[in-house]
Amino acid sequence: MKKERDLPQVERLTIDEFFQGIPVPVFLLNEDRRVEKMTPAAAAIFSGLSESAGGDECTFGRVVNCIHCLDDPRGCGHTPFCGKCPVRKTILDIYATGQPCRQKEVKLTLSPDGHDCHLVISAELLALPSGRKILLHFEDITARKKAEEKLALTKDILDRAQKVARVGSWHMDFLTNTMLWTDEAYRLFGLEPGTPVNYDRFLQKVHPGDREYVARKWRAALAGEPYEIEHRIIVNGQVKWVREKAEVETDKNGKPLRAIGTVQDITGYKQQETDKARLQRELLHVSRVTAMGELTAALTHEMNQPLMAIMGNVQAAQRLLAPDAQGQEPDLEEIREILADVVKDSKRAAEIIRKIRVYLKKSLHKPVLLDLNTAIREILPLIRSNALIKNVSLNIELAPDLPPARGDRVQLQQVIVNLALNGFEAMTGEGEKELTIRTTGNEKTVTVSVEDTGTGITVDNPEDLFKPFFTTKNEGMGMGLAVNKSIIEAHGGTLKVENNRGPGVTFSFILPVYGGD
Amino acid sequence: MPPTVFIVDDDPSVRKSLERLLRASGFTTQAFASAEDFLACRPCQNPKEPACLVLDVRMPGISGINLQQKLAKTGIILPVVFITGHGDIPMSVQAMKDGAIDFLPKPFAEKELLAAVEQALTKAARLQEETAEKAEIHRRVNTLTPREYEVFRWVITGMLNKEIAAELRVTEKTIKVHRARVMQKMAAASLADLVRLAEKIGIASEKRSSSGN
Repeated sequence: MKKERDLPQVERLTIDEFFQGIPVPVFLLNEDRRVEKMTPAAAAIFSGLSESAGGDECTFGRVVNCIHCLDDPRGCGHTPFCGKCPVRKTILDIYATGQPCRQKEVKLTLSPDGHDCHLVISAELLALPSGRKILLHFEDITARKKAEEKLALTKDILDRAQKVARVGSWHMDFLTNTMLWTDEAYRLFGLEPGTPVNYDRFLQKVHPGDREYVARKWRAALAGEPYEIEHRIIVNGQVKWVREKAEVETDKNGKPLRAIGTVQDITGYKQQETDKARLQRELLHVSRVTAMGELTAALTHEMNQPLMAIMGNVQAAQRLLAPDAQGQEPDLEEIREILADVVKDSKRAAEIIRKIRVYLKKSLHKPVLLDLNTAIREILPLIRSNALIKNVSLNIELAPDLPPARGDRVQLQQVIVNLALNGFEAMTGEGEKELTIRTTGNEKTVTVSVEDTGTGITVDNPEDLFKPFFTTKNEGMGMGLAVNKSIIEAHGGTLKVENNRGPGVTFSFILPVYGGD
Repeated sequence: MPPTVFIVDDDPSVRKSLERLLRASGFTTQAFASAEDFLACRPCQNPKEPACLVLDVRMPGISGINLQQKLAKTGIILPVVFITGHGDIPMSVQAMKDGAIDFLPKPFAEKELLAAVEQALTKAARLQEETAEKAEIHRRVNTLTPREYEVFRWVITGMLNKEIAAELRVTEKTIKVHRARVMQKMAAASLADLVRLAEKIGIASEKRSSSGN
């Protein structure tokens, strides 16, 4: 139907018959700009004209009406914009230039507050024996345009919402290994929206210290594990924290097809968490120091009384025994009494020490059934944020089905935190900084070990570490390990330390299993 | 009789051992289990000979610090050596400000205690001397007639007889006679001597006061 030469093949059909067979609205316009023929689809629209003529609504019929008025310089007269009508202009241009028009999109505004009407116009010039004709085809794409606008609006709302929530989202196609990111996702990762991205590009943005962890978790997610992780990324040299969640869709055989996920900026939250952990740690320290101070004060006073008495008595006895006592025989009866008093006061001092031991044991809260794994998980945020501050990677290896222990949760947590903090402080030099907290158990005992990769122990006798006031640090009283040891022993357990085969040391405490004794 | 050291400590063992130590060092001792017990002993608070107090800071009932303050308020001069089982710095500062001789943390060596006690007794002796001297001056002042006392108060301000005579509306000669009797009764060798005596018992020389003694 394009060229004159092609027509003879369909010449058997009359042009009327031809037009009757076309299922889309097509008009044939003659040189006089009048509609000569139209397809039934076009006629149907045209017939609908009269009913809708009065309304403001943009209907196809109106446009068709316009075409009927092409020869009238005033246009169809339906709207004041007729003279500017792009449809009319497009068609008249074809007449003027003799150039065909292909898939031209035009927008029609039919009233000032009005509804827009989107059309795609295609026109071909036909040099038929009966003269030069224009074959005109319309397609109403208003509905499609509206859907597109709605989609754009939806996307805009999503983008704004994500921006406010600092949550980006993404979609991954495993067949093509491509990813679609929302604008906020791009912003979070410091990339220009629209930059082509894939998983490797994402992984490059992950903090090197977390890359292995993230990749491992992703592999697990592809194997069906839930994927909800927090990790660091590096954006323009700055460290940010993000929380990621994803769901992977697979085919019947479990092969991943696509994944959809969210990424949330939690840097601020993490910072608060770090601050909180620092405050908690300071508080813990202060309360420990205070308790220690009170205990020390009480102890000092109690001990000083018998010590004073002993000292006074002994010095009095020395004076009584001194040879210059005017040649008199020393009063042996008095000295005997003094010695008896010295013995009495020494016993009193020993009794005070015993009472303090009893008191320390009593200060244990009622020992209860205790899952050490849970106890460790509770203090993990505290330890994790310290690890973050000290740039130490933290490994947590908790034995599944760990038998319960019996003890005071808070005290044992204090021991673990203390051992972990000691570990962090031991790793100040160069080299891999890694702290591993591990639980293991058998039917009789449970063991918690804290392993560092620090400087290790250099003292001859590791047991010295547990003595009060032993310290290698500038600050600190050297009471930490001594207190830890007392706590563990009060639980019927043992605390020990060993140098690792590699760098660092492992502190571990072994407690009896609840009901195992 | 050797000087007396009073010991107040609620701990019987400490009390007994301190008594033994001080007695072995040549002092007379008298020990009390509480501040209340010591306050009940009237003669202890007004000893004839120099004496001092070895006082525990923390005791049930009246504390050592309170006892020190109570004694000071009633004008009892008894130097105090504090002993304490606590290293209580703010309390020791207050005690020293209130005139304590020393603040010894238990357990202390005999050397420290004996040095403090010696110092306290020296102070006690000096204070007793001063007290005795004041009593003597007061005794002399009490022998003055009201008129002589009045002249005495004027004389120590440095006024001339003539001026005093004008002030009291008597003749200069009368003042001269009174003045000679004041010097004699007060056993003062010179005007400067008389002023010194007045100052010792707290009579101001600048301004006349109507209150006698």
